[in-house]
Amino acid sequence: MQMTMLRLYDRLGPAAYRLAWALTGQDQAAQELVAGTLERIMGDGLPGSDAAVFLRLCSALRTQAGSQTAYAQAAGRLPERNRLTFELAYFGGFTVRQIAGALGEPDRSVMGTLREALETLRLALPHESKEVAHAGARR
Amino acid sequence: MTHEQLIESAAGYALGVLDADERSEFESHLTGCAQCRAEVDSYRETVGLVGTVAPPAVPANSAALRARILERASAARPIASAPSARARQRDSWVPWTAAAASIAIAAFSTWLYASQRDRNTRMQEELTAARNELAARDSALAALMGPEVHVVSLAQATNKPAARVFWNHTRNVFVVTAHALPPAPDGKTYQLWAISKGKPPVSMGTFNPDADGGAIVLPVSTAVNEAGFIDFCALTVEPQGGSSQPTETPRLIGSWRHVD
Repeated sequence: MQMTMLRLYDRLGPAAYRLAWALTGQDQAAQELVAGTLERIMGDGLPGSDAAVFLRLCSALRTQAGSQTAYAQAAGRLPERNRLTFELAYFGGFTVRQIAGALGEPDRSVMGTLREALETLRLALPHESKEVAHAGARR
Repeated sequence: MTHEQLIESAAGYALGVLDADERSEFESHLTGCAQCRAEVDSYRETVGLVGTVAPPAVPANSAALRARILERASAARPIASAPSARARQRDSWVPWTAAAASIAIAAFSTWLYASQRDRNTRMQEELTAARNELAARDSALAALMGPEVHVVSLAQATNKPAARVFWNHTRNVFVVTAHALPPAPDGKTYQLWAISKGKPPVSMGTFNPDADGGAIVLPVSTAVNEAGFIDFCALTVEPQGGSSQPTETPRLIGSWRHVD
């Protein structure tokens, strides 16, 4: 159990923490959420691929987290399927093909879902964050 | 594939999650298709917006989180089950010698288990350290690749560039590579700063280059995102742990206004 859980954490923990931080906005809360969620999904038994495990993590994290942060509120506007697809891509870094495998959908369907998700997020993100230019160059 | 089919890939491309063959085909199409380029730019802007509310955060203390997970896994491990009432009744007639032998065996088993567990834990820690190092290198490499990467050179007036800062705006990750950067003095560390005109510098993180000047991945803090446009990046040497503001004139500085 220890070995399996640590392996799971080493593979998916950083991405899970990043999502947990986006949902809670606090380091301690995010750490607690990741630890509790990993334990919970380990108890339920693990599906095959990392993408499939991360899919379950995304569902469980959302269930246990509140909806206070700007990201949680914006992502809350997405239909469940679109949110999970987006989080697999953005937080998990899984490719379209890996996501399609985890969801049991064709690649084209995943691409269309990502498109819908980004268009919804563009409208759902708080106005002030649109004025915060992301760090970097003047393009 | 047709334009109508390819334009469906724009969001996946902006997120950096197309598989290699799909990415290659889309990029070939992208060079001659203004509509797809506009789509990609638009989606990248949205990805950047998401980055402002969901930056690539890392635990304040990764080791503590890992220890907490290990602790939970240990607590969940079924070590032994309590004996049933019937078993206790049956055991009531067991001779003292047998009981003593059982205790001895149990003690030996416990010692053996603890010993084995400690050895396993050490091996796991070594394995994890190697995995983490590999993952860090993979992460740095991934952040350096792709058309969404900008780079700025940090240089002194007379010398060749001694450091470069790569910015992958899709992933919102900064990677620093050092070239002939001398080791920081004892008790000191290098600290990278984001400077926006009219605002105080914002720390982008601290690092110490290895002997080869290896790549260092810096997580982007919320403070950097809130800094807005960055005009310059500067490098100073600060006390271990970093400073809230630079305490010396930058040793290296580079402008983001003319990026590659």
